[in-house]
Amino acid sequence: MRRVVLPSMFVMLALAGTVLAHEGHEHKMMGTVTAIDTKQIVITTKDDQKAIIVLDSDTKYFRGKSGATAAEVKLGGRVAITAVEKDGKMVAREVHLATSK
Amino acid sequence: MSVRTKVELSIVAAVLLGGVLVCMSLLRGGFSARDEPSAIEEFMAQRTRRLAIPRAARETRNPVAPSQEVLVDAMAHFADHCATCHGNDGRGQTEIGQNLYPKAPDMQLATTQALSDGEIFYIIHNGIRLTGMPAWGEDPPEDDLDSWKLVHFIRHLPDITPEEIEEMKSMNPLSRRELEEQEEMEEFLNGGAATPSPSQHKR
Repeated sequence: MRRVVLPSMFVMLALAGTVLAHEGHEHKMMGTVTAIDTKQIVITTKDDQKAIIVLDSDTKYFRGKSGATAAEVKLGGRVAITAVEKDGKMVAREVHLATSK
Repeated sequence: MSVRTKVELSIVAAVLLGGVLVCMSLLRGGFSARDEPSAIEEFMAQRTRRLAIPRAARETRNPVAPSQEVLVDAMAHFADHCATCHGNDGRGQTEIGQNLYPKAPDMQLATTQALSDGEIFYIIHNGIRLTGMPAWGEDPPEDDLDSWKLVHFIRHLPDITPEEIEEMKSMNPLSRRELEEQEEMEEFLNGGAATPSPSQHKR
């Protein structure tokens, strides 16, 4: 019996496909930074809507065509963010800063 | 019942059970591309792909000598033809790449970088069945120098810089709507009076 059960268990485990979170469509957001820490950025869009976007290790920062860093994002500064939906949250993929500091 | 018969019955039972599980999985999830391939599916696909590439093709050396000019040429080619699925950085973090089955791979990682130049060329030239990877090579393989140049660029991906990625964006194919969004974004960042909405769907 063990000879039947063990291979069967192996097959069951091997075929059990893992369903991972599905990343959704990309969104573009533009606004003024009202709060920022290492994990998230909060912006207020021109029509006064608040948007919270998660920052992670895959988030890239740009100033014009050059690379930038998270430290260059300042309160009150304008940003344009490309984000994707992940686990019900908006996660930033790219944060673009104004060309002139 | 002999030991051999028991072993054979075990194998048959395991295969049947596997078939039932696959059918149940398909019935439950339909043919959705949302799931990740299971570990065994991924393993089998990679092994089959390797076996399907002729040894001579695997061992073929890149006939194009590496140079800055070749890299620039291949970068433009990649941005125009490949980045829609693979992303400019080759990590596959794009809307299409992440929703294919299987998902576009992170080509900066060993799963791609450990392939030989010949294997990468063969995949670009011939594509891979039952995936999103089309066959790009129209010429006979020996004349398909553009794909060999791409092999050089794929080797460069682990060292790609943010500046190169940004430069490639100007080479990516854009729809009229995307061009308008880009202009709107630049205007806003430079202090203009663009009227952003909190969340504009890209597509």
